This record gives sequence, structure tokens and C-alpha cells, in this order.
Amino acid sequence: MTKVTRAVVAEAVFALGFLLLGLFVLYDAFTLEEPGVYSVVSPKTFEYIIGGFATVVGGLLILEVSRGKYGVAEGTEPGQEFLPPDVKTMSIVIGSMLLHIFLIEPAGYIAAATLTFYGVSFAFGSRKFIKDIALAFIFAVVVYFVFSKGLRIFLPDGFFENLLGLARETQG
Amino acid sequence: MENLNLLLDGFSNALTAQNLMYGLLGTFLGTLVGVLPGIGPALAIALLLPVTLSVEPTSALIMFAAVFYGAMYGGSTTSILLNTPGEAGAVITAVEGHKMAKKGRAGAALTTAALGSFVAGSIATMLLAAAAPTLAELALKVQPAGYVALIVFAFAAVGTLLGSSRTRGLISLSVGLIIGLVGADQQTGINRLSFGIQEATDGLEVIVVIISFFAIGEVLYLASRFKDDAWRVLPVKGKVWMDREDFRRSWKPWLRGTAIGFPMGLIPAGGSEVPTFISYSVEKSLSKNKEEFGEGAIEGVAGPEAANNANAAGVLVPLLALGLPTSATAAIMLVALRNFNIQPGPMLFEMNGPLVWTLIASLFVGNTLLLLLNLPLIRIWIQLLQIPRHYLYAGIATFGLLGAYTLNNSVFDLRVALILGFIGYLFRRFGVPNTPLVLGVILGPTLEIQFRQALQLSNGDYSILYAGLLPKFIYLALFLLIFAPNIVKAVKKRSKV
Repeated sequence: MTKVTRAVVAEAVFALGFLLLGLFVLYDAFTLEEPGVYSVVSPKTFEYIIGGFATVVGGLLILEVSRGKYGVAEGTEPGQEFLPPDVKTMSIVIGSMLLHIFLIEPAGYIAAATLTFYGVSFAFGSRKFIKDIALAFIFAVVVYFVFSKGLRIFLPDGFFENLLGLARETQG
Repeated sequence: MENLNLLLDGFSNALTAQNLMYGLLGTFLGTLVGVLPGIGPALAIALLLPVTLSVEPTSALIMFAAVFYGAMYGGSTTSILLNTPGEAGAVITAVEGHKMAKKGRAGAALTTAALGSFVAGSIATMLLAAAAPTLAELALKVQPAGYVALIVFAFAAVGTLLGSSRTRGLISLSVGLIIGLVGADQQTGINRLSFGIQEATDGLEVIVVIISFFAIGEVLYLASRFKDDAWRVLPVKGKVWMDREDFRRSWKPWLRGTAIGFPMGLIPAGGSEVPTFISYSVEKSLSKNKEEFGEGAIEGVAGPEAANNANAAGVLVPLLALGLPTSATAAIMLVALRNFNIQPGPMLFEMNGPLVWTLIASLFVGNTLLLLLNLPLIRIWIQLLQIPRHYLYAGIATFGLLGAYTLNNSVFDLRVALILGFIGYLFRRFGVPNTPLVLGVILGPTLEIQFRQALQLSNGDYSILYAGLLPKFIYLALFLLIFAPNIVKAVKKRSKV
């Protein structure tokens, strides 16, 4: 009855992943260094319980999937075929967020946030370069200004912060 | 009577000019973020938490309460005009309210939602002020084993009642519990699941987890389904206000919705989905114009909206009195209160009396400010819905990363956010609900503490876990909750044979 489609394989891999996660937690508990002093309950005990629970639930999910009960993706109806994910759009979004992670401390908040904002809006189909980059920059500057100056929440300074004279005075 | 005086003290703490300004700011920001499509109340509060942390506790509390109500109201606006519910409790509002909007009655739908939320919120907060201290007093007698049972019950209820599949709910819970394990053990300092990473030994921040799953995961999921299913915002035509007939049809559903929503929030059985559905079907069966239901009946918006808001206040009772959150929003609330050095639980009203009463007074004030601010501003909020999708998602992604970074100023948190965000994407793709995960992360460590204390009391004898009346009663209720559908089925089968 059940056709082996991409979606079915994806379900199976997803379910298997949780079984492995549960087993991994059990393994971590097993290899945990023996604590010297503890009263009655070792830190291993609870990890064994949770690892065991996760393994059992992972097994149940595999059973469910093998019986043809698949997940209902958000915003779809049960039984509706799920289209393969749009890998290109997703990659650009993930790439833009990775840029943020790499750039925030060396290049400063404004540069990192501008690129992330621009990248994500590009991924979602916006193609007006000047307008998009300008908006992204304004967004980043406003956020930086409100958080760093208004609320005194730390955000890393960098190129644009120095250029605009917004950077906090460095001491020593 | 004593509590009433304490509440009045709370009001006098809350009602200073400066605090009111923070309250207005909170209402404004809460609605602003809550109205954005794709951002439900839980995420809105998580994103705005850093903002509230920078002001002194009393102001922060009132701002936080205002954000809470603002985010809830913003969510219902989006549901009505866009048919994109940000949380399970808004699904009914989305269906019925959107139908009203299509008929050109968006103004009446938005107003009955606002007034219904106000009425329900006020009554429910009053009930909260009465119920929470009483429950806390009773809870003082609860032993660690009783807490273990309560938490297990909450887990099972939230894990199995939400979403389409019990197994997937439990998957979500188990991932949450595993995330909660990461870091140094509270008693011995031994590192679990931290892979030798220095930053991981402090554990993963609950707020980072929430932002990852709700914001980053959502943006990734939308990206994966990026095809042009553009939404269309329905215009608000004509007058915004309700007419006399609308009032006549709304006030009873408001009150009935409150009566249904509040008590169901007290039981740790998870979610505002069930009370809003019950309220809807009650209104439908009582209505003289049944044929209007499903086509845009004002009762079908008024009742569930009131139920949703009353439920949200009801959930605060076990949160404050037992330290037991049962919804994603309540879980974030717990994190926020801990940040203000308020530790919810039976001792709360004795230890943090003045601050708690200020919080309760703040809920009243926030609710009132919301009404005053939002009815005149409805048209402005609607403008926000016109933001093009690509800028909206870009904003959510960037702001989500900002929220994850500012908690500890750490790039490590950003990496965690991206990885967990990807898991959040997988959850959406495979129909796994988010709420059980959030509860697992926040209550897992609490469960371990209580579990240890129970076994220390009994010197390692596991029978203490079900000794005494309360644990036995809770486990029986748990058994019935999980197996009732199967038992009913079996009995029916037998009686047929």
C-alpha cells in the first residue's frame, strides 16, 4: 500500500534520529565520571531516566511511522502531500544567520544585522537592492541605538558604530 | 480582607506616573510585536524580555504585564484580519473573526475581541488574586513526592493532549528534558551532555531555546515552503465601534467564556485550545442564529476570545502558587519572574509578598491600559499588517538573533539558537508540537530537584514516590487521563457484543 516516497524516507530518518538521541543520552549517562560525593541520588540516575524515556518514545515513533502514521506538517491538512522543501531559500536564510554569528563581534552589531536582514529579505524574494540594503541598515541602526543607548544593553561595536560616533568610550 | 489590603498596596506601588509610562510603553511594544504575523504571544514576550530587564523591578513588572496583554491582543488582531492564528487558543477567533471581516464587519470583530478580553481579563485577575494565595497555603503541605507527581502529571497532560499525535507530543517533551539536562548538575557540578564546551556547563538558556524554536524555526519553515501563497489583509471598512445589537449579543458570551476559560487554566492540562473550543460550541448551541456560526457570528468571536484571556490568567494560579507553568507563555513568565528575583511557589506570597501583589495589580493596570490605548489605535495596528513578507521575516530573524545574543552577550548562544532553530523547523515539518518541549526544558531541572529531595527523605527508598494520598490520587487521575479513551472504547465494544 504505502509507496516509498521522499517524504516517507524523511519521516523514517526523523524518527530514527530520536531513537539515536535517546541512546546517546543513555551512553552519556553510562560514561559520566563517577561523582565523589552526592547524597542518595547520583546525577546519573536522572539522566538514565530521561535517556530511557527518550529511547522508548523514539521507538514508539518508529513503530508509528512504520504503520503509516505520518506527521501533519504545520499549515497542511492530514493526508495532503508535502512538497519537498525549498532548499535554496532555506540555505540563503541559514547563510545569512551564519554571517551574523561570524560577524557580530569582529565587525560590530550594525554591520552584522544589516547583512542578516538584507540576506533574509533577499531569500524571501525581494530584489530591490538599494531599498532593501537601506532599510536593513536603518533597521540595524535603530535597533542598535534603542538597545545600546536607550536601554543600555550591550551590543558589540565595530566599523559603523565607530564611523557614526556611536561606540561607547573604551577604557584604558 | 488582608489580601485586599495587600492588593491595594500593590496598586499604590504600581500606579506612579513613571510606572504608568512603562505600562504604556509595554502595551505599545507588546501589541506592536504581537500583531506581526507569525509571532504568537509566547514569542512576543520572549523577544521583549530583554527590554523589561533593564528597568527596576516594579516598573519592569508593570511593563511585563502590559506586554503580556498587549501581545495577546495583538495576536487576535492578526487572527481576525489575516486568518493566521499565532497560537492554538486563537484558532477559533481566526476562523470566525476572519469570516466576519470578510463580510465587512472587521471593526465589530476587533472591538468585541478587545472588550471581551478586557472583561475576561479583569474578572479572571480578580479570581487569580483570590485563588493563588489560598492554593499556595494548601501547597505548603505538599511533599517533594507530591511535586514529582504534579510535574509528571503536567508533562503527561501537555505531552499527550496537544497536537495531532500523542507520540509526537512525547517526543517534543523528551527533547525538552534532554535540553534541560545540558550543563553542570546542580548538586555535584558534574557536566552532563556538554561535550567539553565551557559555555555549555551553565546550561542552555530557556529564553534562547524559546526564541530558537518559535522565531528561527518559524522563519526556516516558512523559507522551506516559500512559494507565492501571499496573504491578503482584509480592510476594516466603516465604523470600528460595535452597535447596540452587537453589544446585546456579546456580553453573555464574554461572561460565559470567562467562566469556562479560568477554571480550565487551573488544571495543569495544557493549552487554551480546549476552553476556546468548548466556549465556541456552547455559544453555538445557545444561539438563536445557529446558521450564522461558521459564517461570522459575533458570539463565536466574543466567547472564545474571553475564554482565551481568562484561561491565560487562570494558568497564572498554578504558576504563582506552585511554580508550575502549563503553557509556553507561562513558562516564559516563570523565567522572567526569576530574573526579577521572584521565585514562584508556595512560599511566594510570604517571601515576595509586596512584589507579587504589585504584579497582580499590574495585570489589572496593563489590561486597562490596553483597552484605552488600543481602541483608538486599531487603524494603526492594521497598517502594520501591510508590511511586505520579506521585510517581516527579515525582521523576525534579525530580532530573534538579537534576543538570543543579548541575554549573555555570547556568540555561543547564537550558535545554539541556529542549531535549535533547525530542530524547530523539523518539528514543524513533522507535526511535532512546541509547547511540551518548552515545559520539559523549564520543569525538567525542577523535577530532578524534587525527585532527589523525595529520595533523600526516604534514604533511597523509591516507594516514597507513591506514598501518601496526594501522589496516589494524581497518578490515578493521570492513568484515567491517558487511558480514558481506550477504556470507553473497550466498554462500548463489550456492550455491543
